[in-house]
Amino acid sequence: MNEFLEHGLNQNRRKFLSKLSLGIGGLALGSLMVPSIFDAKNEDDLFNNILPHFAPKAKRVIYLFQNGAPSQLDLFDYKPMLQKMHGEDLPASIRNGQRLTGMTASQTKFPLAGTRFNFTQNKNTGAYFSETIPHIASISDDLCIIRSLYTEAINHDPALTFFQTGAQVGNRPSMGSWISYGLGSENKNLPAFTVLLSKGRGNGQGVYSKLWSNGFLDSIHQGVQFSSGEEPVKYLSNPEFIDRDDKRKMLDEIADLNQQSYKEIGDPEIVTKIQQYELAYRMQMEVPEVTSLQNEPESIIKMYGPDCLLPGTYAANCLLARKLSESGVRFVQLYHQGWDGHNNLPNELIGQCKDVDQPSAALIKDLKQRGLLDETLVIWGGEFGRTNYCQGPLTKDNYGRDHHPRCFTIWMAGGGVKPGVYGETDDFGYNINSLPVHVHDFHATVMHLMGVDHEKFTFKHLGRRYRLTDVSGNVVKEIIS
Amino acid sequence: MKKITSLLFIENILWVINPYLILLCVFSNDIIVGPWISWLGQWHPVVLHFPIVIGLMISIYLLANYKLANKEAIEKNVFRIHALLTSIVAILGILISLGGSYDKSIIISHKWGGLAITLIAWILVLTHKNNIFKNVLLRKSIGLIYLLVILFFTHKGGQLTHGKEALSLPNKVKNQIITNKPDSLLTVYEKAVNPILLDKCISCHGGERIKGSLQLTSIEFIKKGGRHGNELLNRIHLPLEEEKHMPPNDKKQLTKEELAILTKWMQLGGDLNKALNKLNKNDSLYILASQYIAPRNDKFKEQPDLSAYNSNYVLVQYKFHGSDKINVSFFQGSFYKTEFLQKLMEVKDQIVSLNMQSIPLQKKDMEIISQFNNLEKLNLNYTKLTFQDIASLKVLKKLNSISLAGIIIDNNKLDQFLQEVKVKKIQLWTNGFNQKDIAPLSVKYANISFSVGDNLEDSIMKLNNPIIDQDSTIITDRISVKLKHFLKGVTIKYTLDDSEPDSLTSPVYSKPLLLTKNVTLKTKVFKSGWLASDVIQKSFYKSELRPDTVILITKPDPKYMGTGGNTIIDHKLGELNFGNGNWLGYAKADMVFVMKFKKATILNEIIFNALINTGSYIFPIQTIKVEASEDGKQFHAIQNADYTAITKSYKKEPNINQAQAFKVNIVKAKASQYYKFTIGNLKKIPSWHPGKGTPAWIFVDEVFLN
Repeated sequence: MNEFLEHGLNQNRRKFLSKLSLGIGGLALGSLMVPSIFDAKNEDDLFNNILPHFAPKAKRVIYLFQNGAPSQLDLFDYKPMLQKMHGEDLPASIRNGQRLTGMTASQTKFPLAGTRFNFTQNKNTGAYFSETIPHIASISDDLCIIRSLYTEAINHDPALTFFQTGAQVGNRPSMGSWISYGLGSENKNLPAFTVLLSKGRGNGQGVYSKLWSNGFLDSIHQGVQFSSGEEPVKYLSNPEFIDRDDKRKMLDEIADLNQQSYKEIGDPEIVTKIQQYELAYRMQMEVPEVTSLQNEPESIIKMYGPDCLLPGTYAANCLLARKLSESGVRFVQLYHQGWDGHNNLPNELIGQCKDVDQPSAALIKDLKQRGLLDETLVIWGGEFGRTNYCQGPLTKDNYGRDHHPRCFTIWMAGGGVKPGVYGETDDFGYNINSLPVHVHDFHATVMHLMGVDHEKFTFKHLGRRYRLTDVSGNVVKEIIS
Repeated sequence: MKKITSLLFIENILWVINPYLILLCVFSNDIIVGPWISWLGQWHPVVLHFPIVIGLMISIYLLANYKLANKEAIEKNVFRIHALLTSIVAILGILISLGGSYDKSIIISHKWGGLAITLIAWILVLTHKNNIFKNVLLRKSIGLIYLLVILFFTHKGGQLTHGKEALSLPNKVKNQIITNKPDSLLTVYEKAVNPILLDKCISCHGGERIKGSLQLTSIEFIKKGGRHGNELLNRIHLPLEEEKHMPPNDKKQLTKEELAILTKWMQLGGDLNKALNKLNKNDSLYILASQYIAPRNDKFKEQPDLSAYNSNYVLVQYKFHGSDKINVSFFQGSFYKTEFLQKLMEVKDQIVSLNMQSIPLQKKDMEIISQFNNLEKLNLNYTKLTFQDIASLKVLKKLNSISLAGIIIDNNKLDQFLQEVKVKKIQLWTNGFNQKDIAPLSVKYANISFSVGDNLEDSIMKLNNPIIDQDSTIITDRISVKLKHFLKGVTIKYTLDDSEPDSLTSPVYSKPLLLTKNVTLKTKVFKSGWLASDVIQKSFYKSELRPDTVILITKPDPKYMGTGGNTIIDHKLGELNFGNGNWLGYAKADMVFVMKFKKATILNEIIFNALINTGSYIFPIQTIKVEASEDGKQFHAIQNADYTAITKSYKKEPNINQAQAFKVNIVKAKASQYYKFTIGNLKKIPSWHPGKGTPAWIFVDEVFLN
């Protein structure tokens, strides 16, 4: 039921109580009619009854967000033409009036920069991989590579926000929040949407909690950020001399008081608070088991690389993501910073890939060997691409690349996507030649894989219905297996 | 008189239910009704006749200005009873309208009309005490108005229940007969158009209900259209969000193909007799219509509620809304009870996927699972079961995929298992089990997809670096330093004498180290089966002395001023982030400052901690000049140091980004109260750098004095 009505009804009750002593009877009848007036749980039940709309291909999502925008031209989108024309100016007909960021707008020349790295090709799928990501290349038979993604934003903050919430301005719910709202948590002892952060060696861009905000959805759907320290969820264990039974009693009493004040005031946040306390109580049992990486066998540690035991690293977060996901967390969102290679890109890229390549591939392999890959969708990608021309000084083997929204590459694996390559860019790697995929299309497709019709899954807020894809988005059916 | 008081309670009841009614009217779109409530609503068409009759009688009585003996008392009570019945009927009316299967436009006027009638009835009760009712003209006009209101709005209601044509003469309704003729003889109408209309339209437009006066049961009616004329094509093409879009947005929608068939057929003039095989074979209408298959009437059955099977430890859900297939997942092994599984026997034939990961299962649990006849996917990762325990799964004929990660594997038993349990996919990852080990079986069972994963246990890999767990590098008195590594069973070695730690002679770290003097700690980890890590080192500096003030003679760049002179004696290091306020940065000039001590102090050793970040044009300190003074005015040089060699050793690549200590030893130390330092920057960046020829930055975050 929508908040406006609920609030309105609660307000009416107050007026009745004070002005019409007999009105209370009317209200009692009212609560018979609108059962969810006192009970926020019904809302969820209602949704669980209609979702998923159809058989889901994926039950869970792990989103390995490469924050700062990795260079598609140095990783996946191999363009020999750029190497041939290294140093020559980008033809104006190709740029075609594309706006530039403040960082290269003052450049008078746009010298093309061919990648410094060698590429290998997967003969089955035709996908290219640079030498910096041998591990990802080794699992290429499982990857669905989209080379024709494009976005509308040209700077990090709006582009990130767009990717995460479907809108460039803040205040909309994040993808994970939508999924949490629609499908809920599989495991009631863990949050449905968790967030893990890590930082690479390259030039970094910030991440901020608005990216995993619940927006206008109930705040129980906000992403739960795990700390990158040794204790992923802080203040979870009971204080000394308080055992689980005491805690239970305490929570029951608090819930009682909260219920009372909810009936008085009618603020839905009170119900959320009660639910959050309960979730935290249940998490006390589950989280220590899920987050302890110490018991992983050595073969797994070697697969992700030994950094996976070091809290706060990308490798550790990948391993943690597998553990959370296999324990029933619907949406695990990772952010890895450091891809913003405006200058010295090749050297920074090598460092980034060292951190990211092995664990990303290990996660796919690990899910596969546990029989979880076919029900888990893994997404790897940044918020936009990087330019084919150089920012700053260009030498034979060093260059920088600016932001490029017109085309970039992401890959997905598992969860109902078809391995292969989708979409194609032109010889300059600047524009999309065929099968463009907009960010909205990407969202629609992910929703579809989760069994949700993105056009039907809405939330009414401030007088109109919102969707993750708002008013656009088409499912890219060709990449669904 | 007794009678009159006894009916006064009705007025009170009116005070309760009329506000409630208004509430319902206003919020009727958002109300959710349970089955009992909507059952109550069904009484609306039955009960409504009483208040209508009484209402009509009242209005006629008022209009006729009929004289009664005990007028006051009777009027009062009749009004009251009438108002109560009206209110009840109105509420029931709202309830029935929530069912939603009525023409919306009529409902809205009927709803507000009904409310008006109720309110008039209430006003009659409320105003009866007043004198206005004595006025004959007023009585007559109230009667007339009420009569008209009742007639008009109840007529609307009549149309709702009895159909728009309720009061007109009956029409002949031609329902199309569905034939069993072969396709070759069918008309387009018979083959596709009529089935589409039957499936998606006729439940409201034809047969029992005829909304908006539109009947789609025969061609004459289709052509004639409804109340608004022939709107069919317009409305089905409106966007879904439009209110006038048909079918209504909560009903089953036309597919693209169906939409095209209807459109094309109407455009052809809606010819009833157009035979399908008379159409051109390339005509899109022919292609669409001949491929159209009328739907069998198998709507989603409303599936029974599963909430009884769900708990914090078990998730039991339909595969999707409307499906009868069930997915089950268990969580939190420590709370597991066999009863949870036992309970699922009630829906055992619907379960297609079962996730039992990390649940401590036993043989008896497997016996239950073996009765889930339609199980397709089973996850038994880390269940500590043996192949013996799971042999009972052989009865599951539909089992397609099984995950057995973490279960100890014996090739013979696995072979036997695969002979009995016919799966297509098996996931077998476990410690110490390799792709090689599975090779003979994967040849034998070529139609099974094995997933064993990479077992890298024996591959040699480099250890990651140890962590020196101490943020500070400054020793005022002593400092405790912890060394950490997260991999079990590693040996952490360290040295404090600038030598490289090795696996033989260097001391093994066992407890935190206590450091008391300038020292460089080097550490490295070793483990068998792994390559040793890199050496990690950190220098700790003694800082015994602290001046009372630092006076900056040359000013730092305004962006990198820190907290002024205090920045370099606050015992806070700036890490590698030169913008964080713990650094003093100088761009174009030397850094010159004076340190003042309360008492004359001997300085033997001065260490400048400076940043080098060539990518950001920050180069090493070139020269340091130390001068001393007794009065703060007359300074004399006591030491010079030169570091230009460091910069000269730099080559083009790679970028350097590190903090470095620049130490000055004062050979002839003498107690002084004032010391002046002049720190020279690089005046011209070398030619290999993009900033060649321009002066370089220097950044200093701390000065250690001994």
